[in-house]
This record gives sequence, C-alpha cells and structure tokens, in this order.
Amino acid sequence: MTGTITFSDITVGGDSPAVLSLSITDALGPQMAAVRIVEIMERTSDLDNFKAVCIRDDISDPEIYAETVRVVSTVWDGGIILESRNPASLLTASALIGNLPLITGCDCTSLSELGSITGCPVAFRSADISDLLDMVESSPVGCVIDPATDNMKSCLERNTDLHRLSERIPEADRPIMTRTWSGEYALAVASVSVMRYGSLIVIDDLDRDGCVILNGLADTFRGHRN
Amino acid sequence: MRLPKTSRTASELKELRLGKGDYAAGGAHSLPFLDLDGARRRRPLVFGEVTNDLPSYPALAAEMFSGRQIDPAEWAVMWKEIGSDGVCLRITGDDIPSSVSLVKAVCDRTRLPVVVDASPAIIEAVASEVKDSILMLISDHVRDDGHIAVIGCRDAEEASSVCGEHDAIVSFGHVTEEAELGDLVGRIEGYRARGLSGDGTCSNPVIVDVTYAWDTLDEDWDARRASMLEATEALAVMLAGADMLIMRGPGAADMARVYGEELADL
Repeated sequence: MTGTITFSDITVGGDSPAVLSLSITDALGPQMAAVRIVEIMERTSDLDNFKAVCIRDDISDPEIYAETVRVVSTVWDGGIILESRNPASLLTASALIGNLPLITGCDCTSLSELGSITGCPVAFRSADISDLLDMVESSPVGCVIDPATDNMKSCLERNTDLHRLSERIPEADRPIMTRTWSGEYALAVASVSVMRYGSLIVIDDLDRDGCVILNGLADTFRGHRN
Repeated sequence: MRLPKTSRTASELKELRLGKGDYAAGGAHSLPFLDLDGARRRRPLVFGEVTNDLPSYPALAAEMFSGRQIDPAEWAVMWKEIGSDGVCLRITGDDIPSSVSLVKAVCDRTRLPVVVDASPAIIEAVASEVKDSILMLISDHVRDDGHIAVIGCRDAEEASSVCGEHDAIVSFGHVTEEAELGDLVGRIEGYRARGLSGDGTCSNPVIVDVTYAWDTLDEDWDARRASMLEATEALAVMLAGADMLIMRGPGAADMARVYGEELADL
C-alpha cells in the first residue's frame, strides 16, 4: 500500500481508486473556461473517480491565471490541481481556493517554498528517480511524485521501479502521479498507470467514451495496485 | 540519493511453436515487458476471430470486414492482410467434412497459426486430418498428437493439476462485465507468478479472449467505443502476462499490436 496525501479534501493513494482529472487551460480566457468546466462536469458527473480538475497556466500571467481559477472554483467543488511554471501565479491562485489545492509545474525549490507558505501539498516531477526522491526528502509538505513519463513504456518501467522502491525507501512511499495528453494514446498511457500503481492521473482531455472506460478501470484495479 | 537495485530474476517459462513452426508463444523470463527485469523483447500474438455463424455475430463488428466476412476463409485472409498473427476459427454445427475443409483452407491460405473452437467431434476430426500445421484446439484435456490443447481453467491450481508439465495453452476465461476484468487479471498474474518462481506445472503460455467487449454493448455504444474497450482490456491482460489475444475488432487488434510493440520496445 502506498502512502496517502490529501488535497481539496480528496485522499490520493492508499486503497483509494486512482483519482482522475481533466484539464482546463487559462488560454481559453475566463468566459470559455466557465464553459469548459461545465462541459467537464456534464461529461464526468456520473463517473466517481473524476474527482479533480487541473487548471493549467499556459499564458504565464498571474492575473489571468487567477481569474481563470476564480471562475472555475465558483462552479467546481471537487479537487483542484494548480499547474504553472510561474511561482507567482501559483501563490496568487492558491489563495483563492478554500480547500488546499495540489500545486505543481515549477521547480523543486519553488514548490517547496510555496508549500511552506501556503500549506498546499505539491507534485514533484522528474524523470530521474534519484532526483525525484531527493526532492521528496527535502519537502516540507506532503507530496505526490511524478516520474515524468512520456509514453506507455516509461510509465510501466518508472511506476514499477517506484513501487518496488517504496517497499525499501520511505521517500518512495508516495502516491504516483501521471500527466498525459489527449485522445486514445493518452487513454492508453493513463490505463497503464491505473493498472501499475498510479494514484493520480491528469489528462489534458478525453472524450466521454474514454472517460467511461478509464473510470471503470480505476474501480477495477483499486485492489490490484498495491 | 543512492537507490538499491529493484530488478528481479525469474525462471524461464515454456515456449511453444505454433502453426507451420515459424511462430512462437511464451518463453518469458520476467514480468511482462519490464526492461527493469531484462524482459524478452516479444509482444503477445494477436489472433483475429472468424466464425461460420454470422447470424449470432454482432452486426456492428461484421460491418468492419467489407463483406469478406461472408466467407470464413476469405475473412481469415483479411485478418492476415491487416497484420494479425493468427486466426481463431469458431465453427458451429456438426458438419465434419466441411469443417475440416475450412480449417485446411484457412491454414493453407494464411499460413498463420490457427485456434479452432468447435465441437469435440470436429476437433478430433480436424486433429487427425491436418498434419502440416500445429493447431491450437480448444479441448478439456492435453494432447499428444502434435497439436496443442487450449484448456480452460479456473485458476493456477486447476491449470497446474490439469496440464501438469504437458505442453498446452491455458485460458482463464474471458471478460463478460467490466468488474470481472480484475478477477481475470488476478488469475493470469497468479499463474505467471507461480511459473516464474519455478513451478514447471504453471509455465505454459496463456491465451485470453477479449472479444466479449462487443457482446456487452448496449444501444448507446458504437464501434469506436467497443474498439476502445476491447483494446483497453487487451492492454490489461497483456500487462498481466497474456501471451496470445483473441480479438474481434480490426481497429482494436491494431491498437493491441501497437501497444505490445511499444511495451516490448520492438
């Protein structure tokens, strides 16, 4: 069994089914972001494992990002993941959300500082497992680990490696996050992660059919991942 | 941080020659696809399903074969043309001469490995008439006639008891509902774990029929969704350790082959 963390009152890891998340970009602008979140809610309202949305900062303007986060959080009461390369964007946006969101997207030092200031759990990302576990070791807050998989193969290898390490190294005993894109190949990568120890799956976009299939897998494999 | 090694070693599982002898299944010596454990670069074989009983075959799937499904031998050739590694021939009825002719035609025209699913009388007739191809015959007992039995088992314990160390291909059933996929995966993983730990009675190749994704469709489903589900179930069982997959949708079969190639790093 992996360790757990909680963000936005959602528990990730342990015996819980994998938490699934679709994404919203601030490049849509606040008006279209409102349309997009309603669309996501309609698409996944009956799919219990789609518990979070990821709000992505593609413009790198803290004000625009904050406005997008504000619009989404007035409609969406599930989990929120804030993703930005800009620490200022994350700091401003995290203050707008009552329940501590998960923050990710910038370097380890910035994430650790933001975690200390805001109390938000963070997601560390690196394809180098050793570096990733160094980040965990120095983290002042709860974290998930993202081994930066870019295809099914690397997802299988790195998730398995981390799972085996978790039996021997406490730093590796953290929920594994997988970040993937859109469409059928993204479904395949997400499926491998759900079946091989992934606890939090963030997908840019997936149609209704893909959401139904992935949600079913998350239920089916909750007892097989540990 | 210095990390301990996480690689694992295991016993080698049995490898079986199929068809004209130019295809092989099994032979793994690690958990599936894991470079971490020095996995063999081999993907599962994909078998396209062909039936002589079109009325009971889903129309949604039949539409994808451009009319060639009305002739089972021609249908099998189409599977070869679109990249299938083998054919699973399901024969209904009890016409032994025409069934034997059909199996011979499929073997000769495709030169691929063939699984035959038919009545016991037809299976025995086919086994005695076809001598130039190693067939996989769905049976309830191991064979010593040069062909290989495909034996359905509940779990690793039953497979160990029924097959012993004889050559056979083991089937742990199929998925009829999404919830059962986890049980099926558990049975395959349990069998593979015993084989990899050195139990010679659990080292035969495993075949899984994932066509049932198409039988569970309701009116809201279309061919794309069925293909995605079939391909995802194929991915699940190949990660669990399936060596061969029986598939219905050509798109899903193609996806499964691509997934296997990527995971095996081919």
